[in-house]
Formats: sequence, C-alpha cells, structure tokens
Amino acid sequence: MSSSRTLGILPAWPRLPGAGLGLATLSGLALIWLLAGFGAGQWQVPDWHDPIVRQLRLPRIANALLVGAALAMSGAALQALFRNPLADPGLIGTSSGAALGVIAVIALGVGGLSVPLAAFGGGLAVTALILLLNRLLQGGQAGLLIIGVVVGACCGAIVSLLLFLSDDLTLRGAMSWLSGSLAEARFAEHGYVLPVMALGAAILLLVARDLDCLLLGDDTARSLVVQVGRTRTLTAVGAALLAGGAVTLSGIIGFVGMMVPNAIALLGGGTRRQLMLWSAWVGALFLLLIDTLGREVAYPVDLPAGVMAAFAGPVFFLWLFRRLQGGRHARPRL
Amino acid sequence: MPAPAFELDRIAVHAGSRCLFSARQLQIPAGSLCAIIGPNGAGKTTLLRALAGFHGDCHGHSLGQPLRTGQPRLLAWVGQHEGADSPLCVADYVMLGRRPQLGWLGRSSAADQQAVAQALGSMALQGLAGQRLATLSGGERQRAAIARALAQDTPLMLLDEPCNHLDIRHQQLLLRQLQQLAQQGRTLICVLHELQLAANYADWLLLVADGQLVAQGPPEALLHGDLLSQVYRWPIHATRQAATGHWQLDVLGHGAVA
Repeated sequence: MSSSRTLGILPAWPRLPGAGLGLATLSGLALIWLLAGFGAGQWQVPDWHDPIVRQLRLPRIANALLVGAALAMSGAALQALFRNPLADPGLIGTSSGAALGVIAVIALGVGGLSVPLAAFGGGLAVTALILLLNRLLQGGQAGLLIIGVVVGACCGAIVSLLLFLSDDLTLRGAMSWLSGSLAEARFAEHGYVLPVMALGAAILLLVARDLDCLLLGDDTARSLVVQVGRTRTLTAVGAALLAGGAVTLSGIIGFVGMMVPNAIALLGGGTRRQLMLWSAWVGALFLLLIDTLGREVAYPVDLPAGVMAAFAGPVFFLWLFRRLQGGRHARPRL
Repeated sequence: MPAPAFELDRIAVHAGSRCLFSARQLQIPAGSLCAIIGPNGAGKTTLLRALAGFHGDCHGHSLGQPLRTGQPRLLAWVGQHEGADSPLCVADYVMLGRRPQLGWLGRSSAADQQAVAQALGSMALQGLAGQRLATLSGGERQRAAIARALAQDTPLMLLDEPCNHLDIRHQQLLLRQLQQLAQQGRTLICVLHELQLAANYADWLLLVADGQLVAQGPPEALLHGDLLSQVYRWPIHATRQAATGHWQLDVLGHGAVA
C-alpha cells in the first residue's frame, strides 16, 4: 500500500516510518525548548532550576500546549461532525456554553473547583441542548450547525447580560478571563483538567473512523454499520470535554480550532484520526508560539493569547490558503 | 436456483401522513444488474433507500432472509458525489469499506489489506491508491466509490445515480464494470436516468412513477413505446436490433402525451 501522495509537507501518521515521526516530535520539542528561553524581552538558554521558569513559565507553556491541542483536536472532530470547515468550538456554542458557566460562577462570586466544573458543565449542557433541539426539530446535518450557532449566540447574549449586571471588579475579572489568557493556570489546575481532556481525546480517537464514514453521507455511513446518532453524540461530548477543559484553563481563544485542522487538511490530508493527532500536535505548538509572541512582542505588556490568536490566526490562514490556491488543493477539505 | 435478492409483499415509505412510495409484489432476481427508472420525482431514490433499509417499511425477504425494520442490512451503498470533499487518499477511502469487519480500535488485518488491494485492482485504481480523493476526476471518484463498496464484500450493492456527471465514455465503462460484477454473482441495483443505458446494460428494470411501482421485469418486457410514453408523458419509441440485441430509444415529436 503506497503512502498518501500529499504536498509532501506532512507524512501520513500511521504509515509514518519511525524517522518521520521522530523528526516531527524532535522538531516540536526543539521549538518548545527554544520558546521556553524567551523572557523579559530577551532569549537565553532555559534554566529549569530558575523559580521564574519553573513556577511561571513552565505552567504557562504546559497551559498553551494543552489548550492548543484541545482546541485544535476538538475543531478537527467538529468539522467532520458538521461537515463544515468553519466548525469550531467557539462557533457552534460549545465554548460559549463553557464561558457562560464560568461567567455565571464568577458573577456569583464562587471560586475554586466550581470554575472548571462550571466550564465542563456549561459546555456539555449546551452541546446536549443543541443535540436535543436538533433531534426535536429533525434538523439533520445543516440544522445541527444552525442550531449550534443560534444557541451559541444566546449564550453570548446571556454572558453580556451577566457582565452588564456585574460590579466593576467582577466585570474586570470576567473580561480578563474572556480575553483568553494563558498566564493564570498552575500545575494544580492541570491535574484535574487533564484527565477530563484525556477522556475527551480518547472518545474522539475512538469515533474517528466512524467520522470518516459519516463524511461520506449518513446513508453510506449506515451501510458501513456506523451508528450515526451515537457517533454524533459521542463526538459532541468528546469535543465538549476538550473545549470545556481549554476554556477552564484559558478562557475563550478563537480561531485555533478552526484554523489548525484546516491547515493540516490542506497540507497533508489523511484520515480523521491522523488529522486529529496532527492537529493536536500542531495546535499545541502554534498556541505556544503565539503566546510567546504575545508576552515578548510588547514587553512588559503581556498580550492575551486570545487576542494574539485573533490577530495571527486569520492572517496565517489567508497566507496558507493563498499559497495553496494555485496547487491542486484549491479549497480546504473537511 | 438462488433466492431472489428481494422478494417483497409490500413496501411503503411515509413522511408524516404523506405517502412517498408504495408498492406490492416487488421482485429483484439475485445476480442481476437492476435499474430503477422513471421520470423526475417518481420516487426512484426513495425506493432505493427503502430497499437499503434507510427508511420506510419493507415486508418480505432479501436473499432468503426475512427483512426486519431497523436491522442493518448486509449491503454496500454508493451515494451521489461521495467523497468530493474528503481529505482521504484512495487507499484509505477504500479501506472504509472494511469498517464492518474491523475491531473497535479499527486496526486492519492482512485480510483487510488484501480485500482493499483486490478492490483497487478490479477497478484499475492501483496507480491512484495514494492520490487524494478530492483531486480525482468524477469518473475516477465513482470507480473509487465502487471499489470501496467492493471491499465491503457484500452480495448486494445499491448505487444512487452512478452515471451522474459522467461523460458518455465513462458512463459506458462504468456500466460495463457493473455488468461484470453482476456476472460474478453480485446483485446491483442502481437508479438510472438514461433509458438507453438502462435498456442496454440492465437485465432487470423497475419502472416507477408518482410514488408507485408501475412495472418490473427484464427490458424486453417493459421497453415498449406505449408504457414508456405513458409514464414519461412524452412519445418514446423503443426498438431492438435483432442482430446485435441493442436497444434504441427514440424520443419523438414535440408535444407532451396527455
């Protein structure tokens, strides 16, 4: 069996010989090491015993890697679920639901574990609501996306209302969190968010082949003995767990979930499982890169990663899209 | 003599209170290339999807087994425009046909790989195995879809308008390949718009109109001008050349049949 003929930038994951996989891992690790050396507007070899590196920079790096991987993987799954390259946890209401949960908790003045619980609960509840409404309205594939956008907009409206009714202190805290900053989370938070994210990733990897079938149409998927309803539900739950985890750690960061899987699909294609794994790895590195830029480019001002993603994401995507437009892949594939 | 591919007493498809399709006594012989023909909106795809078990109720038997509503049927389905937006390469796409045989982790065995290689070979796609599906021409993609269905290794293959968007040469080549598959013992049921193609390649026809099965049987039983003109509401003249057995369907005149 020959390997995927692609643009030659990304090799196919499962058939990847050890050398290719090793090269991708090593170059990623080298990038992490390189970016870990940036601090206070200059670069120096990372000193892992330095308390600033150990207690501030490393948790932030872990945060960026986790959030980037979760958002990109979640986006890769949602784009297959909705058969739409624009699908993203931020667009279809998953992140908005998680954000609503967190803002409600902040507005009530409750902290601690209730924040991540509210994020997961909000993300899952909104996802369940979207699936329920779609089933009641028999909306099918297109209906799922429309209902997702509508429910997401409703969550956004309720968040705005809560912010409007909040006092100045709460408003400032909530706005800082909503702008998507990676600076706040510590290793302790990763301890309880990571298992939930891992569960979400495992669910998505298990349904990945069924998502490949689902992309061919519901009828073809059924003939391949795919349980369409169950696959949709599991995908939505897996994506919600990943997005909820990302929102817990960083607030709302847009574009990563939409952009990275599309870039991977443009560059290499492959099965949904390959796209998810590559998206997770590239998404992690991408968010780390733009977060490092955000804290170094206007030092001592620390620009939130959400703002950096909002600036960098579209520019990067337009560049990539333009570059590939002349080739065989004239538009992003799901 | 093998059991018929389908032997139905009753078939009904409803959307709410509206009846989309109904028929009694529908039969399709095993090992045949069966074409569902009829005018636009007649219910061709509705019938095909009902035979696949995707909707409606079918009472009767398929390959000697009683049909049960909601139970997955052992068949391969080839939809319209399948894979046009897929990021998969052809080999991975054809491997999806083995999905029912794969374990829950989805790991393919040597037998799965062999089935995929055979399916690629029978559709002359070995050279395109690593090519991305989205970059193939319409004809190549249709062949890849049939290879995927072949890899599934089921006795029944249902195809929804497989000749859509194919030029004349690719239509003829595709139907020749379908004919060969039927000769190997598979039953293929497809929706066809081109009467001429259906007449010359299918060995069993289902003629539908207004959500009803109007007639069924081999081409020589159905293809006479009166019936076709009545169903299509347009004068059609069907003749068969005695020497070659080739059907010629001529669309006559300029006026609609009442």
